[in-house]
Amino acid sequence: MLYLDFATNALVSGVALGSIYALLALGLAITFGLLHIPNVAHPAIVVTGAYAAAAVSARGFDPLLAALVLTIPFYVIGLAFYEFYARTFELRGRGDTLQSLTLFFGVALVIEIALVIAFGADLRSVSVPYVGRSLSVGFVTLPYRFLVPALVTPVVVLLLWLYLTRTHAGLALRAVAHDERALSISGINPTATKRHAFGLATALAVLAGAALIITGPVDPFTDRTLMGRAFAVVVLAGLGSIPGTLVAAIVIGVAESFVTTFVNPSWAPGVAFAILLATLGLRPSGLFGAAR
Amino acid sequence: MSQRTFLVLAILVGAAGFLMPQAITNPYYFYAGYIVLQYVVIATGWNILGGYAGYINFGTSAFFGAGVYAAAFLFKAFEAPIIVQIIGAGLTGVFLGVAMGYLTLRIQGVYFSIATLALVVVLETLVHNTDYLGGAAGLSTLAPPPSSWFRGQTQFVFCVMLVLAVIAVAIARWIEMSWMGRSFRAIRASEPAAEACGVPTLRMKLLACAISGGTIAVAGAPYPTYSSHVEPASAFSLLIALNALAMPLIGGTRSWLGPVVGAFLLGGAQQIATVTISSEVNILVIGLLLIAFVATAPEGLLGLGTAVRQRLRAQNRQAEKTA
Amino acid sequence: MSEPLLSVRGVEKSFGALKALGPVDVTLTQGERLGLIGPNGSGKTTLINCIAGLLRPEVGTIIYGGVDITAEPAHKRARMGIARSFQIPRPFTGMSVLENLLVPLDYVARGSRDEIERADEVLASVRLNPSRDAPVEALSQLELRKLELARALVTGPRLLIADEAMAGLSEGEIDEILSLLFDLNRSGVAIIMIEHIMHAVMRFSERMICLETGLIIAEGSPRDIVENPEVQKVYFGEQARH
Repeated sequence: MLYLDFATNALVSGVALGSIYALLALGLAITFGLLHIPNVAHPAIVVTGAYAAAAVSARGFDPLLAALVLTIPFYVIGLAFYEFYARTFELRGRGDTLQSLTLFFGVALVIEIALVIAFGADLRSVSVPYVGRSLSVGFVTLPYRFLVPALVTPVVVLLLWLYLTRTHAGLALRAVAHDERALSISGINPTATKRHAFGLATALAVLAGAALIITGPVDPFTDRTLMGRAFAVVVLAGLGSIPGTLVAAIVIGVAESFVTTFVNPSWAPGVAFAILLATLGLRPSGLFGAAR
Repeated sequence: MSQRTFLVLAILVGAAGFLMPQAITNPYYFYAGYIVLQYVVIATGWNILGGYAGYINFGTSAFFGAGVYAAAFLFKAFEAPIIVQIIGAGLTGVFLGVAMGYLTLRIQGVYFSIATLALVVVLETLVHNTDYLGGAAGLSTLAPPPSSWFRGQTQFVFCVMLVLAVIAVAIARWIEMSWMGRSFRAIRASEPAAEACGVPTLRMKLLACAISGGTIAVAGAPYPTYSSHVEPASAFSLLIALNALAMPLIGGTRSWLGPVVGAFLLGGAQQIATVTISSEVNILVIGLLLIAFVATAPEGLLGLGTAVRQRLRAQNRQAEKTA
Repeated sequence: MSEPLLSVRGVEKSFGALKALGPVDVTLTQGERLGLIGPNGSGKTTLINCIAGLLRPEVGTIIYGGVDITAEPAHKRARMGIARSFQIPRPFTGMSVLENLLVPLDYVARGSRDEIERADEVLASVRLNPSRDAPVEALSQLELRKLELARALVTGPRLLIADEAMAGLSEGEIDEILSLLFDLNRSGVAIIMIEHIMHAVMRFSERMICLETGLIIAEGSPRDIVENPEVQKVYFGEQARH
């Protein structure tokens, strides 16, 4: 009977955790899943978003609302960053994937160290009124600091999916992932579309950062623990599937939650990574991946 | 540089190194020089997989740390002499490299790189939780004093590292000029085309992982003797991974000389700056340099040199035509 | 010599939910010139990737020279005598022309004095002019395509798969490549040619196969193929519209 209690709680917190991982991975689903740009700096940008949201919320605002406002400057930063990337790589002819990988790694490192210099290496957290309290239904308990951020994700996923399937700009984005040349022939500038996508991904990152820091404290090197999870979600979902991101993330969140509850918490970060390797080995196109 | 010239140079450098303890009295030069030579080995080892074959290892610290702790373990458990420590470290690195490669190389290069990051975390956690290896606090590895020729432990390990550096560079040079280097570079240029030409790409990549991993681990083997104390924080330090990436990139990834140039320039600069700037600013500067070079001069300084030479040659030809 | 060189039986290949190829049967005799046509996305490249070994079909067998090679990796098949050139040339950048040829030679004649001689022979046979020490980055489009072919030929294959070896070339350049391929075929090499340039593939082929959405819709002499209403509807019809 006790096992059922533990298992149900693990399941519920796993779903919530997965929801947050989905938000974390959404930006990467766009840049890596759709545009095939291996942006390993994405988790670092999420952490920066967390610090930014924390800084604003220290003045008395709710971190999620702060993040909503911060999406605008972060979007602009994303545009600028893509410009830099495009000028140094894609316009030079065949972009060497591994060189761009190194570039993003360098950026991630610089972001980490910049955060250390600016905020110190200690853990940083936010204090929000609902942190510390939990929702209890029967024998299931879920802390609000998990529940609230977890509810944000489905909304964002829905909005993003509507954007990608119903708006002109969104369709252009999916088209550029599929066939860049055809897109430019129909008169749409692929570079502008990709730049916009990058801005969008960066804006999503700050939302994810706020969600992250509500669930728990963060330090400048948290991006390393997030990286495996983010890529695992994107790969398990299948490159190019946005709704799939939510499903894949929940699978990973639940798996981690069960391992934490029934095996050992220190193995939890390895779960995502093991799922990543398993997916690449057994079903590389992921759960919902589109064939190219 | 012909084979004979290189061999002669190598022997001269080795001999000069062994004479230095007799000629130079200030141990600081050996202390700092050891680190630079250590980076020559690390950068050279990294470049075999990263520069030649094109698979970027972000977790070099994992292999270095594995070498450090393999040597420390052999020292603590068997009081093994340094040569045994080096061989043990090398074998550990080879094994780790092949295991890593086997798990990740059948999929794209991106995932290999991400996996190498995970490896650092895994190994560091393992060492933290292993009391025999000293855990987080570390392990004392005070070795018996070396022969009096060397005048001190630091001078001794300096000479050891010099020999290792010469061997590592010789191996890298041989690979570069041989069929192995050609196959690696073909894999880097276009893996499907290489496969279609008969190159057994998976086997070659595993080979590159093994050689690279073994070399980097060997660079860590004399460390316990050098510092008399090992701990996870310095054995698995971020700075090692960053330098392993930056030195070949800045020096030049196409040839064996690039990592050497990068190690001397960057390593030397860091040794000089060590007293003036904090470690965080150090990492920031290297990170920015890395980005700058990847963005503007991905072939490194040697690549810039080649490009300049080619342009001069083209200009000369043009001048000759119009003359 | 009645035994076929290559026998593809019941091969099927899917990517996730998309069935790209199959089931497909192809037979090739020694020294035959086979033309493979079909609109974009019809499965031509998938088929030759299955033959060359870069893709593994889910169903079916591939028999080459009497040996079942279905499970063999691409590099083994290359050493058994199957060579291919790529649609978009993939030269080994950062290396010279000679080094590009040495890569495959290293696996049939490593270290022997003949290596460089053999490379020179092949370079002469494709009439590649730039010196063998020239970096591949300096080659023109035509020269790159010749290098692509040279690299495929240097190991002395029995089957060459030429994937759109003439795309983007001028009329004179197309003739040059065609004559190279004819010369090669005269020395006994079977050639599978994928091409969109109709007059070239029709001149070249003894037999042609037309694919559409992963299945063979017509097979026969070039004349038969051109006059086949199915082919006209699917292939030429598309071209006529543009």
